[in-house]
This record gives sequence, structure tokens and C-alpha cells, in this order.
Amino acid sequence: MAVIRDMMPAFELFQPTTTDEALGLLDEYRERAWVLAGGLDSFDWLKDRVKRPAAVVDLGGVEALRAIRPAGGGLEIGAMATLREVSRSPDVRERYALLADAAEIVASPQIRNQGTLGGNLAQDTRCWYYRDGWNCYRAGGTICYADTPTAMNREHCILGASRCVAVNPSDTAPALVALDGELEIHSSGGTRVVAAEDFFVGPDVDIMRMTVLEPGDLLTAVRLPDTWAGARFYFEKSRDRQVWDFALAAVASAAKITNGTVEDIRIVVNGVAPTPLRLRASEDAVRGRQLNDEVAARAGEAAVQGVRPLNHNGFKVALLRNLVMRAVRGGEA
Amino acid sequence: MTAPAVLPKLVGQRVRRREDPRLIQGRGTYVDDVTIAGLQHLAFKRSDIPHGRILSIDTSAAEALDGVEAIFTGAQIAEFLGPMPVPTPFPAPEHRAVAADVVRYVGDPVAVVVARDRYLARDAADAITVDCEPLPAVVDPEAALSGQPAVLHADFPNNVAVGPLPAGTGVGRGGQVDDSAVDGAFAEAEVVVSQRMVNQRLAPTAIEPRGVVAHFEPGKETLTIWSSTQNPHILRTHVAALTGLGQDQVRAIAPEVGGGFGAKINIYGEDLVAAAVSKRLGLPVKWVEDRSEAFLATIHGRGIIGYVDIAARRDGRVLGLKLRLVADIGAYNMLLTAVVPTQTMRMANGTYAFPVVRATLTEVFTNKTPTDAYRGAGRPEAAYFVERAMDMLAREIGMDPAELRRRNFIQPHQFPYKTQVGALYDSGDYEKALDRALEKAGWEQLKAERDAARADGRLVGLGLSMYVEICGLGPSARLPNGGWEYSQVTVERDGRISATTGVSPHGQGNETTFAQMLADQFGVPLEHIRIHHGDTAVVKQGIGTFGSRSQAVGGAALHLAGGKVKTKMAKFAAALLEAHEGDLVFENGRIAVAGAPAAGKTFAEVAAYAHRPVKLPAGLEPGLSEEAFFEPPNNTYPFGCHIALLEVDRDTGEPRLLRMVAVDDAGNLINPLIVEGQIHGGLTQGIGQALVEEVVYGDDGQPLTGSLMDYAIPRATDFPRFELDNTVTPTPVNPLGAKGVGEAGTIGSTPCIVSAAVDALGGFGVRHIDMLLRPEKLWRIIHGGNA
Repeated sequence: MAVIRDMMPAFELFQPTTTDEALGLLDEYRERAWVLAGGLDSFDWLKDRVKRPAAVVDLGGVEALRAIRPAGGGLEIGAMATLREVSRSPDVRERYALLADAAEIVASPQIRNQGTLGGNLAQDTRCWYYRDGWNCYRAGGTICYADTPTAMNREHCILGASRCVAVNPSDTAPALVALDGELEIHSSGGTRVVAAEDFFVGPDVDIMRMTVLEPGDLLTAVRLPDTWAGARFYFEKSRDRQVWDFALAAVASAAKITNGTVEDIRIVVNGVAPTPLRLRASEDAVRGRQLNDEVAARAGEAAVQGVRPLNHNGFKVALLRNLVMRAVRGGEA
Repeated sequence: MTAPAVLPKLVGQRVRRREDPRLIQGRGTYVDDVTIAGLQHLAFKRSDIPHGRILSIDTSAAEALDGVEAIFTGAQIAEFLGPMPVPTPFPAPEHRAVAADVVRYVGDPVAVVVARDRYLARDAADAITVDCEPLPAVVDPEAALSGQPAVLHADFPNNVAVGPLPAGTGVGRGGQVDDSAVDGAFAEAEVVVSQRMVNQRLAPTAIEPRGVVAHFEPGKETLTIWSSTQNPHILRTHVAALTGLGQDQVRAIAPEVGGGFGAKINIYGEDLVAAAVSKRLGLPVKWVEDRSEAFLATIHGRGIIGYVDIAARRDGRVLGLKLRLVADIGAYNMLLTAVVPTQTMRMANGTYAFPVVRATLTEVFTNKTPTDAYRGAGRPEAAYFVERAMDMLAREIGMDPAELRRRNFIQPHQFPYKTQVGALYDSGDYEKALDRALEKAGWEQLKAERDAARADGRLVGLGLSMYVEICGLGPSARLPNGGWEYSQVTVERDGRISATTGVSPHGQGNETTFAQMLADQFGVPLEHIRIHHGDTAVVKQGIGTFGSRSQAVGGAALHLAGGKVKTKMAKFAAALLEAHEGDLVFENGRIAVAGAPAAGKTFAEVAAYAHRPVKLPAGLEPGLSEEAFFEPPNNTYPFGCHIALLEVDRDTGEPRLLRMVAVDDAGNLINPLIVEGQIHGGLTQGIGQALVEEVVYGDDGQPLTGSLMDYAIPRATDFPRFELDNTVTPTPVNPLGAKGVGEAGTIGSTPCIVSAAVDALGGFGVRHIDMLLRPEKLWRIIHGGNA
């Protein structure tokens, strides 16, 4: 294994201007194609010389994929809308501030200017063993290097692992799940719409993918229904430094509260499991109840039932509990 | 006739950097922008194991690639390039720029590829197969002192590179040690505080990685080398020596350099290999470091463990300090590797008149990237150990940390002050800086606010640290290449001024500050002055930029050269004006008799006359160009006081810096705006060490922080607005009274951040927290170590 990389190997570059053109290329190259959106996850893979696609399909010129527009009482956001466009969109900000807050906290301003919502949702895991090109389960091998006695696994799973213990790193994903969002996926065979919660795939289902996207598929748009528009939102991301860092744990919550009673709530966390995780037991502990510290504590306890920390990430258990408690309280001390 | 415009005095003014417009607009020329017809590109094949014996290297697949010009293994390079230079006074093992038999750290080069383009060069390097017999990796520097699990260099038993080297009270010139005074002080103590502290490894991380272009021209037998270096003249010396050329045959150029922070002082193997390969092949070659390569191939900073014992009486009188240092210097001695930790010893007194001090240093080889100078280079480590110990003592005896410092300061009347460990402090008024900082921070009110926040359940802490450091490096006795600086000032025929300086600025702003000085000296507009630097063919001599020496040493040389030209120009003007040269004043672009400006000559008129002196005044040569070398008699010792207010989130452990107050005393200031910029940058890196930065190696010797995703550098959002102020205590060691400020911010800030965190979490029984202040670590303290 080479120690120094930083220089991309050769590939064929395509820059389509329409969705159909892009789909044609993805169909032609299938698993040898790489979809390039903002390029932030992609270029790391390419420069590290770990992924070596034959063709790169750059969506930067497909204008149709960038629109943010009202649709069916809700909102439709093109997969190529940048994170900044999402966080600064008045439509998103006014009705779905949860997604705006999540998009606003990704990485750094430069990355938000370049990175896209679709790319942020579909990004690969950050597990360094996998990213460094080790032949682990996720890379098609027969071992998880992050779950060995000497592994460095401070950033890995405490919940829901199955052989692979890598976590989903997306900040916008839990917000989208909490908002009951949907994703529109095109391929040469047609169009399908997938609920956000079903879009993300854990290793128990397919250990080599993070999402339902398969070769030939193109994520084109994200739809937000009006279900949670204007609800009480809470987003918090805990990390080692204040910018340009992935979550150690993140929580996204949407709640409908009347006279202090929680009529309905969504609590979704990320950074602790292979997929963004909706915490139904925590939601049940809160739904229909008067909002108080005791209820929040119960939700926090429910969140950490069944955790299986690794050698170096036990701290995430308390982090998860505390973030869920804060999310239930909604930012009020 | 209109009265001449009045030019303002510029020294002391907040003049904006003249360098910035071109750099901000992308018009700077860096090494990677240099191109030459026929240029070939180098890529280094590097070891991916920390320690191993090279059995064989197979280059056949790489050689078969179309466009690969040549491949040299370490053994082949050794045929035409000698071992790396190590001019420090300590013994050093042989170090080859490209390893020939044993690799000693991940990143140690084993072969170099010369190819048509850099992508091909990288492909070819990947295609080289190296067969190594792995040897045990030496990772823990203290365990390494038993010679386990391996010895890196056969001539250095137990991996000891230097030491144990004693200094301070009771240590004679020959190194003989008398413990009685130190033991006596500790026996007399009412309280002794002891702590092991780790000052972790850091990666300097300049925005521009290193790079080199070497061009040997066989017809002329000259070599030109462009390098991202802080000291082209020193580079020239070593490149010439190692390629078998004379210094007259080598020209070294430091074009725009995108930051160095000490890491670009070093003479690197890649530069020497590029020069030797260019000479060997008769072709120009380029190598530009990748970002991930920089984490392995560029020196690291810090990496030193300190065992501190401080003895005191309960009234706060410190009776003595012991500091035992173990430096983890990595695999080899680079240019200053062995010297940097000695600076930590040398600053063991801090700002205090400790009656006895004993420092002991051991430097240890490990299978890691070598350490060398990084911003502060030994002084931040000293300030950290001493100030953290003072903070622990203050907590132990229940005294305000500011008051404890005040009771132990070296007093203004004691300067020049010879410390127990042999430094000669030039000037200082520590209490003044402390008081200014306390006032600026609103210390008493801050303490009340902290206590109120705690009553509300918040974890808020206050940290205070003093510092004193070494600036203005030389003098020559202390530096292997000399410690002077050089400058030439020329008044051109049209009255413009060209000046050269042997310092090699890469962010210090000397094109601005030096022009300010000359503008005032000659009474001409700033726009009429150019400062040239960074090219040994343009600047005849020089040492370079490091150790906060540009202003204190380089500025002094400029001032002296300018004075010589001015004296000569006054003689020409006196001849023209038929006046006495002693009556002349230089102001507003004119040279005139004092009190009668209208009767004078313009600066350009006098300059033109000096270049066509008809007739030539007696005793003068034509022309207006003079040079000066300035040798400082001593270092300068700037100082200051930093105060931090920090809050830790009880639920997540995340630290947040709420306030950062820095009062620095760098003597006289030429440009306060640039000084503030230097302090901002220094604070950023000093706070970065406390909060986010750490080079981490696994127990197997593999680096775990090999990219900017894993090695965190601080970002603007990590900081509050910095609150700066200064006091002015001029130095007597140079004619400007300027001490230097490049490293100050890095030195004072780190301990005060950690002390603030300890204060915030003091309720949980913690006395000291080793850096960095990772949220997880703080959270564990809050929760008693239980998840």
C-alpha cells in the first residue's frame, strides 16, 4: 500500500447537461461509473487511489437538478442544490429549519458552497480502515478491522452494527428522516420514490452499500412533505472541533407541542449506527406526555437501551443519552 | 512654488501590508509555479513500515513505464550524494537523504523516480516493490531508554541521542553536578507540587507544503535551486557542500513561501536529492510535496515530556524548580533537532527569580518523523511546564494565580538578569504586563462571573499564564551558520531606494516594515522603496528568517546600512548646497538646510548628482550603495501575559473558549498592525495545541494522523475575538529597541488554555489535564472516568 497518494489516477470524464444524458452514461458504465456531485467525498477516494472508476459522470452541468421549489404542499429540493443553497433558502428556513440547521453545520463554508444535498446524503462512511483501502467486509473482504482488540474505533458504532461497525456520517440525513422526507431516484428503467428512512442501508442488508442506490441509479431530488412544516425543531451535532468535523453523535428532532404536551415527535440520531436511526422507543416515551425533565430523561434512557460500545467509544453512550434529552427539551435548559 | 507635501512618519503606524494585494489576488509566484523547458518531476517511494531492514527493491515495473527518465534507490543515490548535514554540536548518526539499508520511520524515502510528469512519477513510485524485514518499532520514548524493543542506531545505546544533560544550580562548566542547593531548597519547602506533563507532537502544517526546483546547467556549471525555504543562504551553503560545488556556483531562491513556522528552516533530503539528481542528469527537476506526504516527510514540532517539581512556602514564595525532560526526537537528527529541546532547558526560569533551578534533558530516538523547530521551538514547551506548575501550585496553596506570579517575578531593576540556567535576560517589566492583562480582562470581575456561572451549574474556568522567550537569534556563538544579519541599501539614480535583506520573509511583512523604516530614515514616500529578499544572487549574504529575528537582527542591519548611505548622501548634498552636512535634514522628499526647506534639493536631484558627480567632492566615491552586517551581542527576551476564559459543556465535554486576552511586550514596534497579525497567528497555533492538534502514532509506529481529516488545525470559529494590548520595554541589544514577535502568541497561550480547563473542572478533583483537551477526555473527567 502506498503511503503517499494525493494524485488521481486517470479516468474518463463526462460532463452531461441533462438528466437523461447522465442516466445514459450511468447505464452504459454501470459499476465502473462514479457519480460526481460536489466532489468532496469523491476526490478523496480518487486521490487516495482506493476507488478507481473507469468513468466519472460530473453532474455539475445538469442545471435541472439544482432547483428548490414548492411541490404538493411541501418542498422539492434538487439533489444538486448546494448545502449553502439549502440552508439559505427562505422556503427551507421558514418551514423546515431543521434541514437548514443541519445543512448549515456541515463541514466548513467552502465545503457548503461546493457540497450538495444529494452528495451529503449519499456519502460513504468515514471508517479509516475502509477508506485507507483495507480489504474489510465493506470492501468485499472477510474482516472488520475496526472491531478488533487493537482497533481505533472511537468514532464507530454503538448501535445496530452487523459485522461492519462504520457509521453514517451525514448531517442532513437524520434531519431528512425526522421530517419524513422522500427521495426520488431515476434510472434508465424508470423512477422510484423511497422514504428517507428506507433510503439508508445497514450492513445487515448490504454490507457494501450505504444507501439503496445501485449502479445505474441517480438520486435526483429530495421531497419534504408538509407533515412537519413549522414544527418545533432541534438539531445538535457533537464533534471534536467546532468546524470541519464529522459528528461523534448528532440528533435531529421535530416535535408538535400543544400547551406543553407533546402531540407527536420524531427523534433521529446519526453518527452512532450504520444508518441514521429513528429512536421509536424514545419517541414513545415522550408522545402524549407533558414536557418535563423527567420525560426527557426517560427518552434519553430509552435511546441507549441495547447499546454495544466498542473498546474506545463508550463515551458515545452518554453523548447519545444527553443529546436525546436536549432534543426532547428542545434547547430549553 | 508650492510647499512640498509633508510626509507622515511611518514607524509605529498601522501601515497595511504591501505584500497582501498580490498574495490575495493569486499573483504570487510559489515554487510550484516555477517551470523550465524540459522539466522532470520527482516522486519519492517511502517506507510504509516504521522500522525495517531493506532486503531488496524491485524497480523493473516502474522503469518499464513510458516517460520514466530514471529511478534511483538509496544505495544508488549514496554514490553521488553524501550524508545529510547535521551542524549542531551534538553527535549524530549518519543520515542518508534516501535510506540505503534500514528504514526508520513511516515516510523514510527508499527510492526516487524521475519522470515526465508528476502523475507518471507517482504511478511509477507506486509500481516499485520494496521487500523489507520488519524490525520492532520504537514508539514510546521513555520505554525506548531501556533499549527496548529495539535500538535505532547502533552507536547510540538505549536510543539516547543526547544526555542526560544537566543545567542550572549546582551544575559546573564541565557538567559536574552538585545537588546540595537544590536538595536544600526542596527540604526547606512547605509544599512541593510534582507533575508529569506531555507536550505532544504537532505538525507545522504551512498552507504551502514544501517544494523544490533544481536546475543544473552543465554548460555554465551552475546550479539554481528554488525552494520553499526560510533561509536560502543556509540552503545554498549545504547544497553546494553536498553536490561538490562551490558557493559561487549555486544560487538559491526562496520565491513566495506560503508559511514555514520553523519547519522550513531545516535542510531537507528532498532538496539535496533534487540538486544532486539535476546535476547527475543535467536536467531540471521539480518535487512538490503532497499534503499527506507533508505529515510524514516534514519535521514535527514539540514532542517532549516534562517532569516538573516545584518547591514553595505557603506564602507563595517559590524556593526551587526541577524540570526533567525527555524529548521524543524521532528517527534522525535534522538541522536543529538536538538544539530545540535545549531551549526548553534554557527557559526553565520563566519570568521568575527562582532561587534554585535544575533542568535535565534526555533526547531519545524513536521510529517517527524527526522533530525540529516549530513556532517557538523549545520555548512554548518551557512556558507550558513552568506555567502549568505555577498554576498547580496556586491551586495547591489556594492563592490567586496572578498573585503567586507577582510574588516571584524577576524585578525590573535586576535586568540584565542572569538566570539559574544560563540565559541572560536583556530587559523586562513583568508586573507591568501582568497588571495590564488583569486590567484588560477585568480579572476580579471575571472571577466573580466565573463563580456566578458555577453557582448556576456551568463549568467555567479562568486561566492565566506569563511567558518570556528567546528572540532575535543569534548571536553567532549560538548558531552553526552565524547569527548576524546583512542588508544593502541603494539609492538609485532616480532617487528611488532598493534595499536587500538577508532575512527571507514568508508572512512576516518585512517588505512593509523595512520600507517604513527607510521611508522615515530618508524622508521619502513608502512607494519609492522596494525591499528585495530571498535570492542569493540578489542578496549577497544572509542567514534567514527564524527565531523572531527579522526585525531585531535584520531590521538592525537595514538600519545600519541605511545610515551609511544617508551619511554619504549628505556629503553629496552638502557639496551641491554649499552647506555643512551636519546642518542638513532629510524630509518630505528633499534634502535641505534645517529651517530653510525651500532652499534645498530634491532627493532625486542629489541622487542623480551622486551617480554623475561632476565634480566629485573630495574624498568620496561615486554612487550611493552601502551594506552592513549586524551581529547582536545577545538575544532579546520578549514577554507577556495571557488570560483565557473557557467553558466546558457538562453533557458533551466540548470546551468553548469564551475570552482570550493577550498582552505582549516586544519592545518598540515598527508596525502595530503587523504585530497584531503575528500575535493572532501565534495565538491560533498555541490554542490549537491545547484544543485540537496532535500528531498520533499507534503502538505499532504507524502514524494515525496522516491527513487534514485526522490532524485537526484550528479554524476561525474555534475562537472568540482576541483582545490584545501591549506594553513597551525596549531592548538594549539592538539600535531599534525591537525584540521580535513572531512566536510570542504561540508561547503564552497554550498553558493558559489548559489552566482554564483545569479551573473549570477543578470541582471534579482534577489537578492537571494533558493536552489536547478533547471533549471525550473532559467528559470522562466530569463523569469520574465512567461512561
